[in-house]
Amino acid sequence: MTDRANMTDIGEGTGGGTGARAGGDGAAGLGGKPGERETIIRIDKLSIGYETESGYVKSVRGVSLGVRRRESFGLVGESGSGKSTLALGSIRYLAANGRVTGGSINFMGRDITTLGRAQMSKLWGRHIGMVYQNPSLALNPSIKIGRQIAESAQIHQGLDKKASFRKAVETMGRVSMPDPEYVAGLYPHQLSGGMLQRCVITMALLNTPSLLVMDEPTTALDVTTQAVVLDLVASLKKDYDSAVFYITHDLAVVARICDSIGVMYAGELMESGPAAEIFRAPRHPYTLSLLNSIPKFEEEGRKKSLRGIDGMIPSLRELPRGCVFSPRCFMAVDECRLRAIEMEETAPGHLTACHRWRLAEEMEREIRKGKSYPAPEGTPVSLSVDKLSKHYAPVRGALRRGAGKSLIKALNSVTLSVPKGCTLGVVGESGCGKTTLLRSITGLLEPTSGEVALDSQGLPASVGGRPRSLLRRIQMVFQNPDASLNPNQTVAKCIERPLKIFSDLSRAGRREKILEILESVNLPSAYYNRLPGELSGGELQRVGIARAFAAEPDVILLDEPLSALDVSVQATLVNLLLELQVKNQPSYLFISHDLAAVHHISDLIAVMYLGRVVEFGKSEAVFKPPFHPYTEALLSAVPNPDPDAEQVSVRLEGSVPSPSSVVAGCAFHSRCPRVRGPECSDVSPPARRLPGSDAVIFCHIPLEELSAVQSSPYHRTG
Amino acid sequence: MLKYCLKRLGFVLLTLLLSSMVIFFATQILPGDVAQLILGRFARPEAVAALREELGLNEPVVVQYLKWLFNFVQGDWGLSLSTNNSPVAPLVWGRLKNSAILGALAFIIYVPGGILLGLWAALRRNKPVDHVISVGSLSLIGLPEFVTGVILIAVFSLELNWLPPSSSISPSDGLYRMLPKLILPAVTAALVSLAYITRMTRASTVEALYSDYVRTAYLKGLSPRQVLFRHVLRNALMPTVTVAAISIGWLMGGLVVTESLFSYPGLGRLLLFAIQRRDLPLIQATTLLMTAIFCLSNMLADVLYAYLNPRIRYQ
Amino acid sequence: MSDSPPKLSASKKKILYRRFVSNPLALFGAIFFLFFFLMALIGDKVAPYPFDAQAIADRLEGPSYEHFCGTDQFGRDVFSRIIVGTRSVFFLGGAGTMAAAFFGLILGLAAGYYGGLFDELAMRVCDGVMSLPSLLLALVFISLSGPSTLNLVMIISILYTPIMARVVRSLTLEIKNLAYVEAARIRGESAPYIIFVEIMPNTLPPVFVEMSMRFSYSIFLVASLGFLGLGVQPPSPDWGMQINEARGFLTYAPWVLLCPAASIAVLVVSTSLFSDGIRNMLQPSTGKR
Repeated sequence: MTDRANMTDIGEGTGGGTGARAGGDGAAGLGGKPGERETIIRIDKLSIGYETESGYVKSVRGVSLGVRRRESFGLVGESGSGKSTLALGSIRYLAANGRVTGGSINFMGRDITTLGRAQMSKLWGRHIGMVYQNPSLALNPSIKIGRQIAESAQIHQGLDKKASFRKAVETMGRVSMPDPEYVAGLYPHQLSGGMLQRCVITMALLNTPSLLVMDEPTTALDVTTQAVVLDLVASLKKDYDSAVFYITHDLAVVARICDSIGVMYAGELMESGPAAEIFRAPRHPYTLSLLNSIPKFEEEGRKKSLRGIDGMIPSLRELPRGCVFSPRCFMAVDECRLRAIEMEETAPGHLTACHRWRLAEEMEREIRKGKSYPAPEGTPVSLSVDKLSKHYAPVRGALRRGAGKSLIKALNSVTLSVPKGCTLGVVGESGCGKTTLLRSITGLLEPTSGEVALDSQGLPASVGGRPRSLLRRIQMVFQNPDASLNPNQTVAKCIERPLKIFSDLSRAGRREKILEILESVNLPSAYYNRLPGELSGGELQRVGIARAFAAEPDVILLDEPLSALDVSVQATLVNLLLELQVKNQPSYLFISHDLAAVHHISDLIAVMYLGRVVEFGKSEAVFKPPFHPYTEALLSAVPNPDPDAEQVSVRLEGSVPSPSSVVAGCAFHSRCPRVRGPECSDVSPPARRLPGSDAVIFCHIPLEELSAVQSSPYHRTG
Repeated sequence: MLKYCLKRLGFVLLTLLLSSMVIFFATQILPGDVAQLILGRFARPEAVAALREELGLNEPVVVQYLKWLFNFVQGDWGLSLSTNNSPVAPLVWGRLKNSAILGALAFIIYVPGGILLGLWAALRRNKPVDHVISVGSLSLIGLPEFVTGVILIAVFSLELNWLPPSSSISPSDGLYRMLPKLILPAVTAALVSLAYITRMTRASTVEALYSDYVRTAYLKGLSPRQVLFRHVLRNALMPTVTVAAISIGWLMGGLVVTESLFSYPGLGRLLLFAIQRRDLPLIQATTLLMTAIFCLSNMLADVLYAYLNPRIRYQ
Repeated sequence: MSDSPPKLSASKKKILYRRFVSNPLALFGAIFFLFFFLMALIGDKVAPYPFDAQAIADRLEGPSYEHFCGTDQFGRDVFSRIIVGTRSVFFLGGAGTMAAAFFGLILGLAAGYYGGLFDELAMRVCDGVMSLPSLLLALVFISLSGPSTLNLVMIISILYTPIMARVVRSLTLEIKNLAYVEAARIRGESAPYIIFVEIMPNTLPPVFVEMSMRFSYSIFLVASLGFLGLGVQPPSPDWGMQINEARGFLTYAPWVLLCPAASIAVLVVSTSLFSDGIRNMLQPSTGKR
């Protein structure tokens, strides 16, 4: 099965073969090296449906694709695209109410479409390995990790307990698990997400399967951890002899590790082919829109409107006639809505489900028309925080305060400022203190020391101490759209409340104003009396933005407002935020773990780590060398949607330490790849001002030295 | 783990101390003049005064409580007012033994029964068997023991004449002669807990069956049987085990009614008797003992849960 | 990761209604429950005989056309006594449960929202009450304070307030950290506004579910107390008491005992099914999968 001698090295991203093909075509002329590598799994016109409470749902319709040995195939799609159903359906694991209703699945030359469960059990775990989205749920909480992994070898290789355990430990070592012996004896709750995902990957690899199915394996992880796991996945292709079927919503991840990709929408494949080709020359309007919805790390694209896709994915119960994407497509003509679309080959191995693909260049031009929203120059500082700190005593019940334990320093002397009408982006991984910063600014949390000021006037620390006139001036937009509106209040009531408190409009005046605000966030007036349960995630977030703007604030705090949404919706919201800022001139404080998004809309950027700002300044300065070593690591961890970009890889070991264990010195010293010695761990790093800009880097290493060793992770090679 | 157990035990002692206060003040202070209560409404005032002195009722409340508690802890539970001043302790311990026999019998009926029924329903989810078990347990859970008991008596004693309708046992009865008399009350006392454990087991098993780690186990290539025994049961029965422990405490309440219905000489019937006679020392002793059993069963549940759940065991 | 499609496509009420009606057992429970409720309201008007009309000559007669459920040891019509007895079950259980819901809501909202020492103390007391067997607590309480209607309602509300408070508190803790509550706090809304406008309406569905469950348990409790002679006092009819009194002649007049027993069984089962239906309707995720 595993023919190592025959293995050829695959140049990343370039010229890799693809297995995607229209129903049942021969293997010839598909851009790879025909005949060299067998197709591990071939799906032909596969349809999958679910019997649900409210009727029959066709989740996947007529999808054909194939993955070959040593190839990784990325299946990309937004939520509701049916990508996970397809992935699980293709290995015949469907919920009890799900069924394959048409087409065939061929696995290693054998038709498995109608195999029984017992027969599939012999393939699962042995020839098919699976990696899941949420590793902490995918492992049994009450069995030691080593045992869970070993189980797979016990069943399929007939090893006894001891031998299978040894095999598990050995395989854990091969996925570069530190101290596998020790980890094997732990329970899942004792490990971090990244480590758990490595365990799950080990489990999947234990029997050297021919097919590895990975369902959003890095979605639940932090950027730096994601980078480590992605490195691992990329190396698997070389070390193991399997085909990888990779499911994700993230185009950038696909660009980084996949040879071929398929783009799904509403249960159908829109486009498939070699990854490099699709990223360079997409032929489907959906792929085009999607690619242009992602903010790029390019200085010229900054603060420009993104493409986005208006509207919503259709309900799988009432599919549109003709092309499923036609109701949202900017290229659609009458013909698109009349007849079903067949996939056409636009280049060798490149298939697209759009009959107007020849107009792709025109599409691209159409799509590139973006508006620019430059920041105002030389405006005075609006919001500033000065040496803001928030320390917690570790609390265990109100009756017993943890005494003698070291304080948790969630925020440690943070100093930042935003000019009027500008955007300050704050980036950092979970636990870096960005949320505490926002809550301290709003006054929901009282800082331990330091001050928040608006127009250089200090604000009372707690929200209760601030008069209405001040409260009006700071508003917030929240991360989770589902939780940001009261499910019992209509859209109108939700926007009306700030108007009632902060303005002296009459009832009729408020009504008029609400309609005006709804229009400004591109929601129809019919939404006036809707309840939050009747809105989609993107619409909910628009209402949240509307509510914040209703108070006509000077500062809007944006707490990861995009992270719960699909990229196409994110793009429309980015556009909305940019437009409203130019119109109303509020300052934004934008918090996110998504570096590209922060780079796209921010004029200033602060990088935070463990409650401290490690770098702060104009965006063009912060994301250019010299960097703070943490900024460098963050940037190099972000997968780039451009497969031609060559990335410098700086990887961080371990996970973010607990904020209570920070002592003196640099917060980052324990994980810093450029750590120099005792000064890093003992002495607080000096602020080094970048020449020619007012950016600061808090690091012991002199700027010249940093400049000498660092290069931008995003210089283009092609 | 040992530290955890000791902590729980400390908590139990604290709860018991608090409930002893509540019980003492509720019984000794609230109902008015205890001496008057003992001697009756028409007693001579001098006699009442003399008794007050004798019972120490003229002392401060706290001193009364501490004396009572001190004696109680030493096993001197006072004299019963309604049974010619016989000491309370031996009476209560004897009845506790009877209740324990009945309770144990009920326990070995409902714990395995509930687990099996719950598993059966969960594995046949949304099939007729599941509906019957679910609706049956939902109905049983709210039925008072005296209703189910009466129906059982009507069927098995009066109609079929298989088992005796009354369970008044005498100390000389051996287990062999007692057993037939115990079956009906044990089943009666077991039914509510049986229903509860069934529902609990079903719910947690269904949850486990739908969990991600069960999917992982299937996709590892395990057979449904292996998945059930290696992955599902372990997690699904964790809550059930703790509920089984807590249910020992619930049995106390059920036994009062059951014992009364079947005239079985247990602790519950003794409490009822004491209540009817307003026999304060007897009420104090029985309620405190029952509370202790209840608290200990709760503690057992906590400790078992901590022991079974690695998340708590390895904090 | 989604532009999640809306959760409710049709109107909310329609969906809830459909969910409830599609559950035949819940419907069955609701019908019987409403029948008993009607009896509680107008039972004394429709009963064929006054509940306390004695006819010594007709003692312990079997079921007949005149007496659907026969007569008891004083020749009273068992059927009429059952019908009239519905009222005390509903009144005691209903009033007790509502009082518990009211106090539990206040206590839970306050403890959850303000937290701190008050929360800690309130929850310790609640745990204390909940850690004691309810029937036992009721027995001791009633035996000491006397079996008056007020005392019965009081003990039911004492027993169930802690559970209600726990439910409301945990919901409050969850809701108070949600973004829409934070938004209200950032707007400078007052605590009463946040508690009663933003938080409370969202705790009501689970409270309602809990109430319906508590009500069915309170039937259990009231009937058991009646059976032990500590419930509603004679001559008012009470099902538990009827059963207790009829035990002596179970062998030759079983109807006197079986009829009220059957009534309790039907009411309890229909209430349970009804409340389970309500739970499935309001919280479908926690119901059967």
